[in-house]
Amino acid sequence: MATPRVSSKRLWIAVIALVLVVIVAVAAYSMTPKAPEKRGGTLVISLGTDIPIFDPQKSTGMQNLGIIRLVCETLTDMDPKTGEVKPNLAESWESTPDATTWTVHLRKGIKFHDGTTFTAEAVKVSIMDRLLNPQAKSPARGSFSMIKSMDIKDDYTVVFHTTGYAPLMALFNYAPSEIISPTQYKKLGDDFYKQPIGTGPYKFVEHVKGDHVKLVANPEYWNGAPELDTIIMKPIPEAGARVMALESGSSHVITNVPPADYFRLKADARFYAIQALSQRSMHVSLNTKWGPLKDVKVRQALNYAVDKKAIVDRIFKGTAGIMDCPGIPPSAFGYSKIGVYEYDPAKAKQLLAQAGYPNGFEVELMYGAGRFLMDTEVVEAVQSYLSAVGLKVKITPLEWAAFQAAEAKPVNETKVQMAFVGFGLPTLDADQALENFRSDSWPPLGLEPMFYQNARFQALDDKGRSITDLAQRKVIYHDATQILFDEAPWIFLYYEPQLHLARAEAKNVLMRHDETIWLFGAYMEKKS
Amino acid sequence: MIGFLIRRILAIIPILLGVSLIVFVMLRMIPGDPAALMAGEDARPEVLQSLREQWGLNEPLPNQYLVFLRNMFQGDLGKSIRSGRPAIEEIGDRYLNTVLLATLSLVMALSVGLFAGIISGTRPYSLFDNASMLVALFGVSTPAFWLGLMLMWLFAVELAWFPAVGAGGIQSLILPSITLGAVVAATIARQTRSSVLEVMRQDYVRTARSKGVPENTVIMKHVLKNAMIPVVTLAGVLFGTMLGGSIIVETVFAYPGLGKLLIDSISSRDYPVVQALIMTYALVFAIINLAVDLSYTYLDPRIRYE
Amino acid sequence: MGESVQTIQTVHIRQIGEASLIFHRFKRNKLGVAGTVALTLFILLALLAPYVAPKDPLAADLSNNLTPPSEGYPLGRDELGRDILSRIIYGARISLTVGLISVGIAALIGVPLGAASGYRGGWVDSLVMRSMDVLLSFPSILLAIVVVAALGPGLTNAMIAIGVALVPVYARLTRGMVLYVKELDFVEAARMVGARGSRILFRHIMPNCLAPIIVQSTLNIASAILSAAALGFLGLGAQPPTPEWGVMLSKGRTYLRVAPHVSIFPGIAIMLTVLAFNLVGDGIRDALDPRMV
Repeated sequence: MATPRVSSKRLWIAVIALVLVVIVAVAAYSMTPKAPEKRGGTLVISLGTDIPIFDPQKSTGMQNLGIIRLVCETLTDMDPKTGEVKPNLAESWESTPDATTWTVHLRKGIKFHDGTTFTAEAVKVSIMDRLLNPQAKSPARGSFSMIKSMDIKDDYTVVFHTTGYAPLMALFNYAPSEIISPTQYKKLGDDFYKQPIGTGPYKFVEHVKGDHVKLVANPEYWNGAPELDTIIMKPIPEAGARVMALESGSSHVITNVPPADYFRLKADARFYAIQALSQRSMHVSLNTKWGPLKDVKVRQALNYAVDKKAIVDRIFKGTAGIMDCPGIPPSAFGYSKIGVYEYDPAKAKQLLAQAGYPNGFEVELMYGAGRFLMDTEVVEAVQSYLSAVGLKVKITPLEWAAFQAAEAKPVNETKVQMAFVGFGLPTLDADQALENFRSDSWPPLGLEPMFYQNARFQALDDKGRSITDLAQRKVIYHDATQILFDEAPWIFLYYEPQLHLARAEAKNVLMRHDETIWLFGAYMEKKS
Repeated sequence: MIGFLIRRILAIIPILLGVSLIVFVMLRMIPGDPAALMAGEDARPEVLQSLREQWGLNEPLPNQYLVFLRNMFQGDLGKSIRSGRPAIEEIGDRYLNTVLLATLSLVMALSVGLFAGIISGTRPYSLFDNASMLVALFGVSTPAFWLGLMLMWLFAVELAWFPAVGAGGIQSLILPSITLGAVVAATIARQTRSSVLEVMRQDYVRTARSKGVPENTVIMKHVLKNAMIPVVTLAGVLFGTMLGGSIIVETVFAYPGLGKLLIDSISSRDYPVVQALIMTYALVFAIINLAVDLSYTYLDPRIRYE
Repeated sequence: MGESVQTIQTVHIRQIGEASLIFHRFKRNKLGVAGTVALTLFILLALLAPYVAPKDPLAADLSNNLTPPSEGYPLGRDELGRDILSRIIYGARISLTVGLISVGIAALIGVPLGAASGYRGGWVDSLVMRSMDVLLSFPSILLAIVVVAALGPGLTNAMIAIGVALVPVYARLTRGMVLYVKELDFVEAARMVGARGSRILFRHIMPNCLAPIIVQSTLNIASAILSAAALGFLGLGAQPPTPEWGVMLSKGRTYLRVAPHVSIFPGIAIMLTVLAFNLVGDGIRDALDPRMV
């Protein structure tokens, strides 16, 4: 018996229908928004120095603090693109018109990595007990000294009493005020750095000194689970090795890239440049209480002796700006173009002779090798310029932690004569820059060893920080910086360019103006 | 035989004592308060005080040395200033990396060096001999840090075959091992060649040949065993060179071994770790030399009865 | 790093008259002669540096740094704009100084120690040899690093450190030679005639020990130069702005890609110098040992 034959017409219709169904199905499928895949991955970032100690109130170095920030957060944040102050652990705030009393409302429902709740107690422990308490010896204490006291109104409200400080909430973005878990602090005390606990998007795993820091994602982060699974920070002090690590892929992000490599790699599609605003003033601090440096003529001579233009052109390939306002970069409030000591070795020698040093003198120049971009190159260039006018300069490179310790010694114990270092401005406000020159910021209270004091300058600075009228403040800062320019407690050099690179597959890595590597939205793109 | 063994092992002890004396003196020679040197410039006074008690720094020098020895035998060589962990732990974390590097380098050096040396020795003045000895000559003259830089540049950067820095598994061992092994290979090649030549000239080799023993057997049985004797002695010295060289190679490649730890600790003035490392190197070196001596005795029975 | 290690253990000088024979054998070794020529060049450059170097090795000109070989700067300019050729020439002077002084220190301390040890025997011998064993319990670069760590970085301290590390070589060598020579007939004869110990030592034994010491020294100078460069490279030896080859190499690292000449030329200088010493050392050793045809 013959099988019933399907007519060919029907067959064709069936096939076409099937094909149409398939096409529609495929189209529908590809147009439905898919649930975003978790992107995950491990990001390796290499800085030039190791974190001295994983404790926000005890460490310095803004890039270092940026890593600690991933574990312990601050009350406020600054938007990485606009620099505007944004709420973080602090939800909102008000102040009295004279900026002396600030009421801060804390965000509710945030847990530390150890499960305890974030409350006002944590703010007290972190800021009052560990940062401002003189016994705690925090290196950043001087920067927060305008806070006189704090009251806890309730679990989620605190009140700060200050000497009248307008940019206080901007200051709370500055890393040493990061909030730590009071429970953990009670458990470990000063050993906190061994197992630090905060509220951040990443949890601390380990810190093998000199080798790496490992962080893992905190899936319960109050602002949403982070994209990356693991972050590893590997310090590579030598710039060439750091660049090679980026190129070979063993590091995904590197900071402080030598200009020549920066331009070359920027043009390579495998990498991209992380833009960041320059706000760090690089200079040589002169101990104004030591030997020949007591004489202002000598200090001015040293400024005439160094060719800043050559340094900026040849060492930084034009990416740096010559410092023309003592301590204040063009990106900050309070900047005005004061002037530059033009390169004039003849004048330098003349001034030295007038001051009684026709044959120069011996001096030691210290610096924390590896911390700043091209620091060794700049230091050696400075040495060669000063030698050309008769000085005998001994260069002493120190590890950052040791350099920090050397700079922190008080005036009667300090061995620092000259120190090459940079001062960054996380608040982008002149006040923070000028605090170094105040007589109440001499180490160990402050970070810089000039031991400078000038009553006229200080009076101006006092006024500048207490009034809120911006136009008036600008005039005051102009006059104050003019005094600094004339007195030359620094050899004024340049503003550090922020040259950082990332591999193309490490997406969304940003650098905030305060040199925090902003990894909050970063993720690794998986190769398809 | 056993007596000889025991005597040799015991002989290490006075040497290590001598080394500990050097280390002890070295720390006292550095200007500054020894307690501050061991604890770091910014240590709290209580920490300094407890260190002084622990190391007897308030007592006269000879007593201090005895305290130092006592602490050392208990495994306490001080705490790293940088990390706060016991110096012994810092070493424990890294010694395996250096051992791996040294072993791989030695394997490479021996295989290349012995091969080249034997072929050159058995075919003197041939093209191979002249070429390989020329290469070897350059090899012993090349500074390892320069070679390392050139290799790093060529392979890690231009070709991206290997990672430039760090310890990421077997690949990051390759370039440092080649660098470290190269100079050693050159020295081994030269020495092997000359000792093979020396042995080949001996009467008993001629006798074996004239008896009709096949050339290969001649080489394997008679020549090699005897030619290895000076090479083995050399190996002991070479191991020392390699230990020293590893310090530099590790620094060039940022390879996290003992050598890099030493240089990092010296620049950061982490004296407890420096101290501990010196003792470690001395101990390791002494043990290796002992092993070399013993194998020397095994290879050449004549020496056993000295 | 890299000691061109050839401890002369089996050299025996038979008679003084052999000297001219040795010299002739040496002359026939082409590589050895080439090495000698190179070595002479090196020494001349070092001695005559101020007259031969075209520019001041310390004269910096940052505005024109890192230029490749060009008019007036045959080897280019370094990271601070200094003339690399002049720095290499002055570097030869520094290397030669380091080599001679380190080896000088080692010989000055090691030879008398070894002679006393070998001649006297007894407890002097034991004490000296045990101390040498302690020093030898370190690889020499490590010992140098340790000494510099204690004394502080700098060229002078580096020279002391390298010298100290080489002392055992000389002590052992001298002791071995003295032990051998003191059993020889002519020494016996001198003793029988009533000559005093020290006289025997100086007039009869030591002159016969000189040759191996000299040969050893050529090789040790090479290793001292390498060690000094290594220390300079590590930042523990000569300090900037001193034009020491190791330091120059280290500084050039940062510019390896854009201006490799800054590192390449000092590296070649080190290599050629050490090569020259090795060739001469090889040549002398081969000339002394007639069995090496």
